[in-house]
Amino acid sequence: MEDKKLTRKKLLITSLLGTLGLVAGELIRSSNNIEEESDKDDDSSVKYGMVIDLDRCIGCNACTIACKQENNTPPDMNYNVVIEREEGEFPHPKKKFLPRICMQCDKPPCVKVCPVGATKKLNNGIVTIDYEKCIGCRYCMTACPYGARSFDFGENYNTPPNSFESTTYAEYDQFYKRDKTMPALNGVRKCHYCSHRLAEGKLPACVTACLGKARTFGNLNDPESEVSKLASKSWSLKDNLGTKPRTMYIGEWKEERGKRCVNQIVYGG
Amino acid sequence: MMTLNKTFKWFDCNRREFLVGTAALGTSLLLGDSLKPKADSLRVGEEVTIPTCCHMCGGGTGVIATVRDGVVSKLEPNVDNPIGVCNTSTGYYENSKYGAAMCPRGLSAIMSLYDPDRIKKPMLRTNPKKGISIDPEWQEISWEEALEIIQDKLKKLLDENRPEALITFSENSLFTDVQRDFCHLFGTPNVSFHTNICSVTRKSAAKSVLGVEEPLGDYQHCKFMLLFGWNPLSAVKWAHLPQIILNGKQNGSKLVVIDPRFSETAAKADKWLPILPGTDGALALALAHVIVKENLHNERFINDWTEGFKEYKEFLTDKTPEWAEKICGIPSDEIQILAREFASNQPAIADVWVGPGQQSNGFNASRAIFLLNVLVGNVDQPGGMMLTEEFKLGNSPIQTSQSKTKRFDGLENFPFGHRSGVYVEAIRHLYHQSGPYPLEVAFFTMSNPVLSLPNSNIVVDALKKLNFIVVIDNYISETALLADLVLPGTIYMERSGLVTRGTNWKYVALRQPVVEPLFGQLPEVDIFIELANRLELKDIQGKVAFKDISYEDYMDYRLQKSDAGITLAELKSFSGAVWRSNEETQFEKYKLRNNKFHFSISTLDLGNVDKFPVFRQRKWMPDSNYPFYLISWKHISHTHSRTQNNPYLSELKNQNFLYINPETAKSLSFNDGDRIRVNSPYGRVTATLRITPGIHPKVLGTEWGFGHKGFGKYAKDKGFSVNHLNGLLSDEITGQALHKEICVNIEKL
Repeated sequence: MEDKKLTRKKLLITSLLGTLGLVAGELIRSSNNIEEESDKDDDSSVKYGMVIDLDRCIGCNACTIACKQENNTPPDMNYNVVIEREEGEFPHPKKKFLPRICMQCDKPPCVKVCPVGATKKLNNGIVTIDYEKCIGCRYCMTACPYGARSFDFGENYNTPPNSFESTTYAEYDQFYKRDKTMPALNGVRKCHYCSHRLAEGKLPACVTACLGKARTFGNLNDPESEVSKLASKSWSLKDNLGTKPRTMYIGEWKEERGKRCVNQIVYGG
Repeated sequence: MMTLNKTFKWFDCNRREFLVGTAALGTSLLLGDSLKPKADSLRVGEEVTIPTCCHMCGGGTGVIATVRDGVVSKLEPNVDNPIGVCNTSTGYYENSKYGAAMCPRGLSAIMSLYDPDRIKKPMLRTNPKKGISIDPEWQEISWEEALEIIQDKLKKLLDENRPEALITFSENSLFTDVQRDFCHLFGTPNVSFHTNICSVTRKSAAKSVLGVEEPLGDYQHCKFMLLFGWNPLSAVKWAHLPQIILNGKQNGSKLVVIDPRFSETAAKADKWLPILPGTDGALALALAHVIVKENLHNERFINDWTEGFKEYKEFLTDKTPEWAEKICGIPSDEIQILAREFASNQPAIADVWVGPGQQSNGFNASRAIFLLNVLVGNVDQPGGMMLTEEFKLGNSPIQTSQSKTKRFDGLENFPFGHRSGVYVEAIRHLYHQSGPYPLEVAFFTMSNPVLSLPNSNIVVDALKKLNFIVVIDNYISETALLADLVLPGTIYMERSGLVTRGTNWKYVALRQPVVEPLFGQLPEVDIFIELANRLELKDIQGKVAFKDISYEDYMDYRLQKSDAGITLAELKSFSGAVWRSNEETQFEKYKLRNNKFHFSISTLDLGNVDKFPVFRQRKWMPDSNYPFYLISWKHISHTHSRTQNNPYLSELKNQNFLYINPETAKSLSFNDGDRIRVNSPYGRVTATLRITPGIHPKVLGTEWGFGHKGFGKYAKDKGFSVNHLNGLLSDEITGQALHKEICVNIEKL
């Protein structure tokens, strides 16, 4: 019975997303044009950013799984996905991999639509969700043009959840458990550059595990940092929307970053 | 309020500049006004980090495990361990500033550890009728009862003076050390392990040409990579492989992939040449032909360090690109271009793994490929095919003598057979009852031949002929479904071991338990030590061999007697629990030892071994009834047939498909997603069709490892296994199981 309910819930959301998605792009564009949020209050010396080299991405999904265990995400929720596409004709096919995490936009469409102020853009560049404030309305999921956000229905891979699924894990500056009393359940979740790891002086889990060493992470405010140097020649997904992502790309998909690529990016994990 | 404040020692050595900034700033920023610390923050009781080595596959990648309140809560790469960083010492120091790496299978291991579908208690069969779909009617028994039952069965063999009636099979490098000792003490010659169903062809061919079993290329520093039937960017064994290959590419190396399938490695290649299966040997010979004909070979190296070149040159005369084109389907002008590029972009490495290797002409094909390295003189130098020598641990503290009885599998009949045995022949003799003596008891440790040997049906019928089967595994595998007694195995986080493989310099890394075995089970090695003690098996001095020796003592002894000369306690105390030699990667070792490389094999009674790597078509070729080649490959989402029940990995890939070229599909009026039947003379399976431009039109292919009838909820009844379509075939030179030599037809369901 409960399973059925969940499926219906999910269906409803999917169709909602579909409908709203059509108008979302236009809304984002216009709102970004109207409301110029300046950085003048920003006195931080650190602005995090990531550059992903698609020439070094082998589509192994080490990032996806490193993220899953780091943030203890439930079935079908992935802060990180790798979109895979095969095209071309024999004997000259192409196989392309595009890892997608939260873009940590400087003009984040998700922040504007949150009715309770649960989603915020921090001075360090990271877009966060305050699980205690989140009411689970999922407007932000619709607003995000990258499909980076998903809803935690409280499901687990195992019933009852196994020791790992029910153990303590860290996100933001907190420890959580997948327990009905905890705020992360029935709320929206997404990548936050493993901000709890940054606080420990560690890199995000996806960067640490990456088999191809395709990801470079660091301080974009430091012009000498490796990430800054790479960012100067990078491109962003759906940059026509004016979202100003802090997660950027270099490598083979560059020539296709226009419309075709935009349409390939799907909602959800 | 902030409870996350640990900085790991091992992390200090990399990205130092970045860290200095972030550690301080990150903390203050996160504690700033944006996120207020919550009053109800969960406190973490105890958190420890323990270095160990992965064992989700045989690669042994370095791991740092975090255990919170007794639960393994995180696995991360271990930068102290070369596996995950680089296979040469120079590369290690270059790469380690970027940290190490781990693949998705290793990272998913926590979900395997805590998988509720794991076997938790010893289980005894109560239904005497055996079959894959017959309920064994398991009865849970205690460890004491289980060990007593096994002890009685083994005791009987000893009393009847026929210890050779015991055979053991196990996953590689899991506990082959103690298994060998146990079998020798017991008196059976029948020790067998994984290698002969994996890459014996490569090992044997390398040994015959280069003199070492497992040469590893210095990809990070080469200028050309020519890979035959190897997909190191997805069939990742050592976690540093993708990194060193991509680094090589970034440093300007060309990458050419020869494979019937457009693999993940081909996706990153400068060129993909789709080849007909089993014809790599012809291509390699034609490449050699062009190199020699156009005088692009390294004459000086050949004169000084090889033998048999003059004859080899003669032998190559008619191996023209035109000749090869007719066989392998690659245009002769492509072959010429490739030969010139390979020879003129030095150092250039030609490598081969199990693609050509798991076919009946794989030994000669692999020889011809390894000889390309010799022709251009790119052996054991920076950017070359290295003469890798695995770091040797000291001998076992158990003094045994090997049984004089003949092996059941007839390993001695294979001129380039491997000490891991010949699984296929053991099963064949069992099935036909044609062995030198009857077998009675078999142990399978993390080994599932029903799904991992060609022709599952014969394997099932053969196993039914055994009197008593013990399976040690994490799941009720297809083999366990036929067992008489099943013992719960361990996940690597519950077991110990020493890892020394996969690099061109000396290291030894400790695999150590991160948690106690979850169900109080004995780790695999301890089961054999316990049985040896219960049976009072004696060493050559007549002393009960394992009386006062635990596995820790055993490892300690071997470490102390090795070149490392350290104790187990010392190894544990080293950063990352890894000892690395101060001696850097050694090049040109052949000069010191005055080793020569061989264009021909002539030193032994040749028998059925060719003097030169003659190309012959493989034995089983497509015909009008079965017109398609069927190949299989490993994808990084799974290890063999072992990981399909892991929910994370299942989310990456939960079934396999049958891949087909668009033109082929069109000519047969098949559509993407069609359910089809795949037939071979040996059996049939149903599959879902996927159309892809990334496969040769005459070839069908699929991912290996699916089609479980056992295991648990995530694995059972997902996809299909090609082993229902194989003949029970092994290579007559090496004993290699021929997984990739299958021909089929397909029809719509």
